[in-house]
Amino acid sequence: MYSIRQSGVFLVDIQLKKGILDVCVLHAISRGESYGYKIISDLEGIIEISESTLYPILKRLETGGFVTTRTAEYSGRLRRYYKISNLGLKKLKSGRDDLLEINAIYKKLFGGRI
Amino acid sequence: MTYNEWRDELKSNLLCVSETERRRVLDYYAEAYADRRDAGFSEREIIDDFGAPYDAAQRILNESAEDYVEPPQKEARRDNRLNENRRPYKDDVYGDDYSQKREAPRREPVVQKQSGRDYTWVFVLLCVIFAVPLFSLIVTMISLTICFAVVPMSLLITGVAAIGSGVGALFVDVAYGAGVIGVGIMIFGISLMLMPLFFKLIDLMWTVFKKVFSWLKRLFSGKERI
Repeated sequence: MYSIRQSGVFLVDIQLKKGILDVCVLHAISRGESYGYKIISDLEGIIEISESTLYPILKRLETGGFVTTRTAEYSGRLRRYYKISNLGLKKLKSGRDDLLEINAIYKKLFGGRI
Repeated sequence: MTYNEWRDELKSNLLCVSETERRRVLDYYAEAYADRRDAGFSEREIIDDFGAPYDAAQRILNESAEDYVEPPQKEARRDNRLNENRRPYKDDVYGDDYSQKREAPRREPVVQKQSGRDYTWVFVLLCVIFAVPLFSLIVTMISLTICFAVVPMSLLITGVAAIGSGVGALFVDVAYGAGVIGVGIMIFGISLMLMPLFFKLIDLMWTVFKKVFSWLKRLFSGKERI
């Protein structure tokens, strides 16, 4: 599921979009410890997000305890790494179930037609 | 606008969050900028992807309402001057009365409009039309990858073999054996120098190919970043 587009503008409810983005980012991090640019690269092809969108998501996930962070040196500079927590795994699973439910509702409503 | 200018403008829009949060945001963007530069993006491309510093700051403010602090008086007045040419902001964070602590106003995240129609089918059609040259290009790149990997390994093995035969030749002719060992060490050393360089070249070649392909795909799909 990528997006629902009409007249060239995203009409997805903001809260729903936030939830979807959280699930996408958690999924990217669940594969292994990751960092900002890598998360964006991993999600390329699924959903396009920029750093300016990603930062609030990561902060929200960290504040909620869904990811943990550590800072390590990389090529002479510091890089912040994100790792999914057990709580994050539960949220990811819950998010996945929600998306499946949305998909089922969509199919019932529109019969799979776009 | 340079990255430093972009960063300074972002910072000036984040005066109403705590110093800790502001530092964290700036570090985040510094890291993102460095990673993208390493990946081969230009400064201009990176700033375009980051978006306007004002919009980036608004997204951060929406999530950081709990980190809001009273902006310093002098800097707030300076930023009011900077804000003059910006779009009208209904609930000005700074306002007229600095004595009252204000809650950072919640604003909807800015969404970017789709740039145009989806021309993914054109991209697929072009791939089909140019399938043969595209395939040739990929085969060439794979061949180059193999060559770049094999050459230093071959030199390494040659060097080791030369050293080995030189040691054997020492028992027959010392001068000749020493010469062969010397040549072997030289070849071995060259292979060690070439190995990281060639592997870096392989990595660079595939990175550029992947980037060009993604850019073309994005160009035709008309997808904007959120």
